[in-house]
Amino acid sequence: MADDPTDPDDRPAGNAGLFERLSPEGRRLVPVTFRSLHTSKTAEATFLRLVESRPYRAKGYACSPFRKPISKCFGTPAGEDDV
Amino acid sequence: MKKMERIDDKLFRPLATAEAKLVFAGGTQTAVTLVETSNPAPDTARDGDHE
Amino acid sequence: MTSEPRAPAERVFTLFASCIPVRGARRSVICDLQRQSTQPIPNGLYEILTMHAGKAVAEIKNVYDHQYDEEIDEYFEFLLGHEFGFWCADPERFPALDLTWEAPERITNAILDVDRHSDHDYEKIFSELDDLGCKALELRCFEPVPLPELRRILSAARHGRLRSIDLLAAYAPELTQEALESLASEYRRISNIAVHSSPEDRALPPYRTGVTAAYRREVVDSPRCCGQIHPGYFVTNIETFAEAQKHNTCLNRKLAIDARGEIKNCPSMARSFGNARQVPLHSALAHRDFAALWAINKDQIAICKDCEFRYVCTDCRAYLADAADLYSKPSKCTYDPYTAEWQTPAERQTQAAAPAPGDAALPLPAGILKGVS
Repeated sequence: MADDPTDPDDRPAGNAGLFERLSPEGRRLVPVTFRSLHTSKTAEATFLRLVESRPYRAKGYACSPFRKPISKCFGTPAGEDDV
Repeated sequence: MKKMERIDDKLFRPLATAEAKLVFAGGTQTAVTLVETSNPAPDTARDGDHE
Repeated sequence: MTSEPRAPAERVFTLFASCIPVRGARRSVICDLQRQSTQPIPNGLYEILTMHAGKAVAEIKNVYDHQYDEEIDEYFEFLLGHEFGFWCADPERFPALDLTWEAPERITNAILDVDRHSDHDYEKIFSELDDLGCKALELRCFEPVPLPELRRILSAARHGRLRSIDLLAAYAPELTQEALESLASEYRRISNIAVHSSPEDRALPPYRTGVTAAYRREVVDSPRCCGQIHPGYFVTNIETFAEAQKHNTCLNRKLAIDARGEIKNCPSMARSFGNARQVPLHSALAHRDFAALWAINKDQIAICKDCEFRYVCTDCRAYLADAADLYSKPSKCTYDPYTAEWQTPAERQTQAAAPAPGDAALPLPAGILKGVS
């Protein structure tokens, strides 16, 4: 797990050559980078599960949730104009 | 106007309302990044949040 | 003074695929679709991230004849600090996101307006919305609805496929904090409750189930209150960003039933496709013109097409700056992308006092749609 994603040279040795460690099927997948949005204790384990399950998930699809306002009736959100 | 403006100009401050409302209400967040890995026998019965 | 980025010379800066730069007239933004944030950046940085993507820093500095070396170093420190990307030697291994937007539902979201004269057949409406796959509903009550009646309406939606109900209710003393909590716990599809015309502005702590609720002083007594454009209504996520590339982020896959039961694209619009008591929703949807406005995207709208927020803004096609031009900007938007400034609340009030040419219910004129069959 890289503590500092910004500097590849500072990564712990455990992350080196990850691509080479992929299974042949995994190598055919488009590479992705996962980022945690949480600081939970299990974040690293979550990542590992995500990566490991990619060959399975890559064949499925996600049905998006609905995440936007349906109407827009309020003109004065708190903290507005601080743009 | 210079072609390359300074990034610390007030014009480039984050959208305070949108961020406070939608994203960082829970306090500081730190990203953790993992590039790739592989396990020939993944255990898909468990996930990281429910060990 | 900033230090030279530590990356080896051959490495290039690569944005995370979910961090997408969007250019505006005066400034640009990076939309972080995972963290749901929109970060303004200079147009110079946009140019570096797009025209010079894949080039090493030294090469980029050369392009600008070393006039901006310090600024360019600052830019990359900023990008790293905000975790918008990373240094790598093989950027081709990190392709862009596919922003194709598809949805299996014929209708994804709906508005149902209620006032004291409404006579909706709620069971019929919810059942027909179900058939269309609708997953999100906003129930807008412009006037106080007694709690038993509110429960009756919500009960009608109890067994459908709806995944979320946003409830906009008019304040009544019986709508206490406890009453709202009880509603949210009784009807688990409720995801948000806003009580307008309240004596005070007060956001309640989120319920254990994640439902949010708030009392608002602002009065929402008719559909004419809708169409507000401000950062509070910007949505930075992959679904909306992808949808915005080709579709209208307000009207696409939306169906509305106004307080009189008229089936419309939006309750603020004049054109009705029939009354829900007589016309099945799927018949209204099948009308040739029903989906015509869905395809008006922000890249086609005057002024909006130069705005850096065009893929996170949820637009409005009912209240337009020029009522005769379906492709004019929303009349309630006070942002000027050419100066990157919002009108102040005082300026806005002055403008609101004057009659706005586009502030009228908009019929759908035949034959003036561009590129819409």
